[in-house]
This record gives sequence, structure tokens and C-alpha cells, in this order.
Amino acid sequence: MNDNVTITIDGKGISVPKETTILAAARALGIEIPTLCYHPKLLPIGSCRLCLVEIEGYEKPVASCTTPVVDAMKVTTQSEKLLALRKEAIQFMLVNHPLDCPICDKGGECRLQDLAFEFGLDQEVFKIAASPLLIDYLSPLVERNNNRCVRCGRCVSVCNEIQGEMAIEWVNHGYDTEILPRGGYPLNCEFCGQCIAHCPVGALLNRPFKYKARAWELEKIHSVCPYCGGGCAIELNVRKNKVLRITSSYEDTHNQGNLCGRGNFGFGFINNNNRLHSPLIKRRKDQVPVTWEDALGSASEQLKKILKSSGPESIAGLGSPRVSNEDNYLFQKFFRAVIGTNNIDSSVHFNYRNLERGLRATLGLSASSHGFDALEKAQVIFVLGADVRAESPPAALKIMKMARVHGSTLVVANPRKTKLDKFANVHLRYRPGTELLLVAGILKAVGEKNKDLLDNIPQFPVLKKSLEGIILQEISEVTGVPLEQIYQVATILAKRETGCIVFGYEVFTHQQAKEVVVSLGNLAFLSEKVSQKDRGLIPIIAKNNVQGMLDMGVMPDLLPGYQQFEKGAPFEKVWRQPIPKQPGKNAEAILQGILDGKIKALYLMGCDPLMEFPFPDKWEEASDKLEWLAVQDIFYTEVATKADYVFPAVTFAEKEGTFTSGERRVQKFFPGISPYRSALPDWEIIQRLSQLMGYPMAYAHPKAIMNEITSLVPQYNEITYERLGRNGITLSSTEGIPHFTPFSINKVAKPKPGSFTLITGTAFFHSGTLSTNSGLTVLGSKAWVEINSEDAGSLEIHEGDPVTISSAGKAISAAAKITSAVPRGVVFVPNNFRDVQVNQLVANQNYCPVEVTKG
Amino acid sequence: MIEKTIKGIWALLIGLSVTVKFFFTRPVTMKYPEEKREPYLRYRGSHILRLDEKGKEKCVACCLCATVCPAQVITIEAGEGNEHEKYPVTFEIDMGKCIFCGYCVEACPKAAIIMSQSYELAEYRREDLSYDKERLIKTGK
Repeated sequence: MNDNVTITIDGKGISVPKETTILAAARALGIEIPTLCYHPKLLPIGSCRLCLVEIEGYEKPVASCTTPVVDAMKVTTQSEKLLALRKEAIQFMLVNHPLDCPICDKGGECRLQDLAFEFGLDQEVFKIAASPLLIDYLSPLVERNNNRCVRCGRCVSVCNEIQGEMAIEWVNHGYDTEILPRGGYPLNCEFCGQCIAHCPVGALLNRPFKYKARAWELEKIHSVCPYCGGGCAIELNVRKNKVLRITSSYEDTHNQGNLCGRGNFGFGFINNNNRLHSPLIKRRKDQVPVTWEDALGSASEQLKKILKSSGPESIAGLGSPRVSNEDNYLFQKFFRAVIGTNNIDSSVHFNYRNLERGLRATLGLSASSHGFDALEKAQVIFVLGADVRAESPPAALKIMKMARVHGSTLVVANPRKTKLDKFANVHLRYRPGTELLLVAGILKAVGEKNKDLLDNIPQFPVLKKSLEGIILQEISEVTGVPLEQIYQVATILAKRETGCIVFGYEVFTHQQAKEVVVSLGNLAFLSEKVSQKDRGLIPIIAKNNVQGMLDMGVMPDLLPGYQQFEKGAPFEKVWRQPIPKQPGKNAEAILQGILDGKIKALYLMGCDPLMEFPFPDKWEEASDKLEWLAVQDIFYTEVATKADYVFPAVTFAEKEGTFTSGERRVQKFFPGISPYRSALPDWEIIQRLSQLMGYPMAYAHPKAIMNEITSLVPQYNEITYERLGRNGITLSSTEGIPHFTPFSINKVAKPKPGSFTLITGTAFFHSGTLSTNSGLTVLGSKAWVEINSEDAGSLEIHEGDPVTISSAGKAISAAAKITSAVPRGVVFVPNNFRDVQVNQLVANQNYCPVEVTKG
Repeated sequence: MIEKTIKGIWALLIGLSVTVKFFFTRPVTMKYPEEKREPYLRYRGSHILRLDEKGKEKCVACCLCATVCPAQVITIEAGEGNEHEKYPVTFEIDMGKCIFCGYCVEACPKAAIIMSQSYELAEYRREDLSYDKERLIKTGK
């Protein structure tokens, strides 16, 4: 059956699929119809009446954005009558619209301004006594001025359809129609700023940007968001060497111009005056500012001495998932080629490092099996242990869209309530730390339900053996998930529809993280076999360049591209230096090495172990013990106060390079502003230090480093620096054959009734050092404790009361937030704030039994 | 010889008569700076930032003048006032580079910037040629 219909627009014929709107068909023909409320990524609103067209045989003109085509339709888009109607529509909009373009920040990029100009309207034809509406000066970050509102409804649509937040709504009818926050001012929402970006006029203003610049003064520089692993393409809006706002355009970005609160408002750290601006050297007890020559000269001399007296194994380094691929590559090259050690690791050792291990073991992958676009095809989505909205908002948008608009089946499993629960068909509330048991239970249930089918798969017994000791009834008791729900999920996953398994922070910080990833790999492979449809395995990564850093080999046991040391010959050839064949010390072993006095020098690049790592107290002790501690960062972090050398680095906005997002999309970013005072790009600092250490490095540009990477890292072979366009290139990651893999399960004790378990994760508005030094602090800059309302009642804790959480002699304290999002017996504390170090308690697992007291 | 002398004296007298004639006409030059010339009304001298009836600057920092300025001598930083109004926190004109074309006056939607008849703009130091907001307001007073 042919689903196409043929229509004629302005005498030109076109054949388009059914349900295409007239507007879309006209645009396909290159016929321009003026619009204001229409946005291609939103459902048609049809409020502005600008896109009116005449159809032969129809009495009245119709809105082309909402009218689907009908076979043999004859459409006229330009006529005198239509022109008059359009002019009138604009004049009606101008009735209440104040002509304050000179002070409106939208001036210059305002759709109404453009339309008035286009239609030659320089007079207000209709006049009415103005009754000024309330302007919202109360809400943080967003300012609503309903006097300028033209009631197009785009902000309401984007808030509902894209964000699933539903924070604003239509109020009143007819002439008195207004758009107001649900529940009145001030706005209480996730402050994504999408409403601002989609307002065609100046009714919604970006408060941090207010009055900072006129639209035409801004230079827009292509860049990549530095927050989560979603890697949204952004534009730095720069005026006079300052980044004033962040935008993203619908037309040319893979994120369709969608940004979250962190992306939109979290850029303030770039222009922050507290940034490190000069190299420091510790002389006696004080750190004094010096020149780069002195700092690097002294640092290299001392490092050479340690190298000579104690050997390369006494030196270690910790990299960062925040800096570019080029920086990380040079960092590991510095250690392997210049120093001659594999003692190099990062904070990722405690979480995301297990991802690649688990994926390689089962599916033979080194990164997520599919890009985020797989989510847009998935009819079945299983989310395990991830607060997707907080960890990677762009992935959450796709999942929400599938569940709400396309009717996909969404299963969300998390120890606490997350935003996705609202849209889930099934939500499992398992006990903290029981992820592996839950997945094993689901595997078992899938196996039980599809016995006949699975017994024919020769490989299946491998998996069956791992599941032997599992009794579903027991699993249900320990995880706290009802038996029927486990069976329900098993049935859903075995559906003959394409699907995705999405997992996040809770999985990566699990004490058996690798095993959980292996079990999920098995689950993906098994459900693929049963359903005979594609199953994507998509990790949610909360830091922008975790994937890139691992690809670049910032880990003690593998070379760039996850290559074994035996296969290091190409590296030795290019680096002209033998590389050590023994795996180096990982982050835990480095800490132990320092405490034992075996490691004497530590080089930290964009990394603060006192904040990000488990056992911060031990790291504090260790940093005092070191003979040589260099900290390379953009801010004066806690560990920098103890450093012998502090090197000021630049942010992503001041340098060029590439990031690799969680879906392994390699994207290029460009410098928008010049480096802050005497700060230097990380790669340049490493290069200069390396030269002083006697190893020649002479990269003129990050491009030269990327060229070396592409020649040595097989996964990056397919790209060249020049070919990375606006949206970069998504790399494939298959390196082996998927197969069932055995895994072992440690026993998890059932918590005693009445006891508390502490869990941690990402706060939605924050991320860490970057966000807490930006404009996002207006949404809160201190950690809190989420506690169930019933627990709070029995402990007599009220909202905002200080709560102390203690375990094994250590305690943290924060204000209480009473909520139903955490179940009874569980407390949640975000791990993004410096004032409360949750890592002290949870150490290297994802939960911790604690005592909760008031005060 | 005599004829030559007479002709010479005659020529001298003709020449001197021109000179003498100017003794009795008004001079075209002025005794500047003791005397000052009144410029024509449309003369474009240094700029004035006007104040409104409340004594606040009329300028709303829309930056149209800075945008249209062909010599790019206007620097404006906008800010938010106590009543959320937009006003110029800084407004600078570099008179040393200004070409006195008057486009800024034409572009201003609020008639906040006008040009005075003041033409005595010389300074001893280059920096003094850059007029800040206070000075531009003062020029008008």
C-alpha cells in the first residue's frame, strides 16, 4: 500500500507521506511560510496564526502547521488576503507587546521583531490601555515578563513534551490568558532553561545573562558541554573575552538544541575570579607565586632527583575525566615514556573503570554497545541503578520521550525514586547494594520462562552454572523486590521488540561493579537471544570525558586503546622510548604506596583525591607524606593547599581539543576566550615539563597530538582531527564476540529492621568543583540529607534540621530534606559538595549501614 | 631710467593701496582664544548624555550607538538598576578616534545622546581624550 499522497503547493507538486503537515510539505519544496509558534521538535501548537494558507475548496484559510495533507490538495501560500491576515495577526500580537526592544535582551534575535520588520510594520495599529502584568523577579536564573509574552505556548510545550517537567501552565481564558508557573511564583522546577531558549520573544530571560550584551555583539564558538557524559554540542557566547551565556541550536546539534540546567547556567567557573592564575611553589611553609620557568624548572629538577634516587616506580600520577583526550594522552605518555612507570590512574578506578572490564568480558566491547540514538528506537527500556536525569540529562530526555510519546515500556529499578519513575510502567525499589542479586534474579527468571528455547543454545550452560545457587524467593527477600515484579521484568525483557538496558552510578560504585556489568552483559545477550531483537547496553556516565580518558590509557594496566603491554611495540617506535611491561599501581595501591613510603612523588592533573576519592582522611595523610606533590588544576582545591607545586590550567573554553562522550562520540571544541592570566592548557604544561625532564615533546597544536592518537589507538583509526565536524563522530566499539560469561555473587546481608543505609549519588543541579564555582550556586551550594517522612517523624526531624550520619567512628552532618523519594531505612546524601564528604562513609561501595541522629 | 623709476613707484602704490584698503575693512580672522567663534546650530561637537526629568540618564544602554559607530569608539557596559531598569554602568567615548559623524545621535531611540557645539577638545594626555559617563553628562550642563 502506498502511504504517500500527492499535493500541489503554489503550483508545485510534491508527494509526501500521509500525516505530513502542509507546512512540512511546503518547507520540503523550499516554500517559506512565516511561523512563530511552530518548532520542528515540538508538536504543532497552532496559536500564532501566521502560517495560514488557502486550500482550494475550503471556505476559510487554515493553519498549515496543524493541518495534515490530503490527496490532491491544492494549496496557496501567498496571496493578498493571506498577507493581510498575517499582517493583522502580527498587529494583534503587538497590541500588548511593549515596544521596549532597546532594553529587551531578546532584541536582535527576536522572532516578533524580525516579523514586524519583514512585514514592514512600523506602527502599532491597534491600541489598548496597558494593564501591566507582574514581572517575576523572584525566581532564580529565569525571569518571566508576561507583558512581552505573545501567548504562543512554546515554553509550555517544551516544558511538557521535552522536559516532562510540567512546571508552567496556561492560566485564564481569552484575552486574559497568561502563562504562569504551576503553583505560582516563584518558579520551582529543574531550571533547565529550555523555556528561555524556546521563547520567540523576550518574555523569558536568562537572568545571569540579563543586560550583559546585545545579541549581535556575541560571537558564537562551537564547543562541547563540560558536564556529563552526554556531550551536548553547545555554543559559547563570547563578548569581550568573556563567556556570557551558553546556547545550542536545534539545526546543527545532535542534542537538538536541548540543554539542561548545568549546561545552560553552569559556565560561571570559566570567568570565576577565584581561579588559579599563577604557578605556585612551596618555599618553607608558604606557597609563593612564581613564573612558569621557575615553577617547572624547580619541579623538574626535584623530580629528576627522585627518579635518580628512588627509581621510576616511586613516581605516580592521577589523571582526570574532565580534561581533553589530548591532555590525558600526553599525561600517560609523560608517565610511560618520560618517567618510565605505569603508575597512572584516576578517580574512575573506583567506578567507571569496571565498565570496560565487564563489557569486554561478555560482549567484547570497550564502550557502550550503541549510541543514544538506540534509545530513540527502543520499545523496551530497562534502567538500573541510575538517576538518569541527574547523571546524564540528554539520555533522560530520550528515555522520557520514548516512554511518553512513543509508548515504550519503561522499567526503572533504583533504591530511591527518580524522575523517570513518573513515566515508568514498572518501578522496582530494591535495597541498596543488591543490584547484582536483582539482575541475577531477572536472568534466572528469563531462563525459567524460556527453558525450551535456551536449552538449544550451546553456550547457555555457562550462564546457567552461575545462576545455579539462586533461588528467586530468596532474591526477592534480600532485594525487597516482589517476586511477581521480577517475573514481570523478565517477561518485558523477553518481548520481541528492540530495547535498551541503561545503567548508571549505583552499578559503577557497586562493590562488585565488574560482576554487575558482566551480569548486565549476560542479560542483554540473553534477552537478545530470546527476543531475537537488538538489545543495546548503554551506560550512563556522569562526567564528560570518562570514556575518552580510558580510551587514552590513563590506567595502570593497559596502554591507550586498551592494548596489552606486550603489544606496545608501535608505541615504543613512535615514542622512541622503551615502555615498562609491568602493570603499575592503581589508585588504591598508589595511596598505600605513599603511606608505605614507596611512592615519593605524585602528579595530579585536574584531580582532587581529598574530595573525589574514598578514604579522604588517608589521602590527606598521604599528601603530607609526599616529597613531591604537583597539582595542576583550575581552582585552588583542597589538595592544592598541600602541594609543592601548583600549575594553573585553563578550562575547556580557553583551549582546543576533543572530548569523547559516554556514547563514544568524539567531538571537537574550540577556544572562545584567551587563557586566564598566566594559566596554560594542560597539554602545554605537560609538554614543557617533559622537555625539562629531558624528553623532547614538540606538539604545536592539539591537532598534532590527535594525529598521534589516531595512528596508535585502533578505535580512533577511523577519525582525523579535520573530519570531526559539528557533531563529531561516534565510534563503534565492537572488539570481540558476545558470549555468556560466568560471574560470582557475593552474599548481601539483609539490613536489620530499624537500621539505616546511606546511599549517595549526583545532585541534579550540581556536579562538583565546576558547578559549585558557577551561577548554579543560587540553587543551593550545600549538601543535604534526604530522609523518608516516616523515619523523620519517628526521629522527630523536621525539614532543615541538622542531621548527623555516622558509621565506624566517622560522621557527616547536613540539613534534612524530608521526602518520599527515599524509602524507609534509607538516607541519601549527594556527593557533589565540598562541605560534606560522603566518601568518608561509603568508601568504595555504593551503600553503607549508618546511624542517623538528630542534631 | 626715469620712466622705469616712475613705473616702479606706481606699481608700489597700487600694491600698497590693496594693503591700505584692508586697514579699513573687518578682519576675517578672530583673536582666538580671547574671542570664540559661535558654531552653526548643526555643528557636531563633543557628545552629551542627557538626563531625564528625575535626573537619571536617559540612556538605556541599548548599544545601538556603539553598534552603528563606524570608528567603534563607544564602549557601553549595561547593568540592572534598583528598579530593574537597564542603565549604562559605563559609557565611554574615545574622542581621540571619534570622527564626529553623528550616527550615534541618529541611532539613539531615546534621544539620550546628542552632540554639543563644543569643539575645544584638545588634551595634554591621550587618556584624557576618553570621556566617561560623568564627563559626558557634565558636558551638557
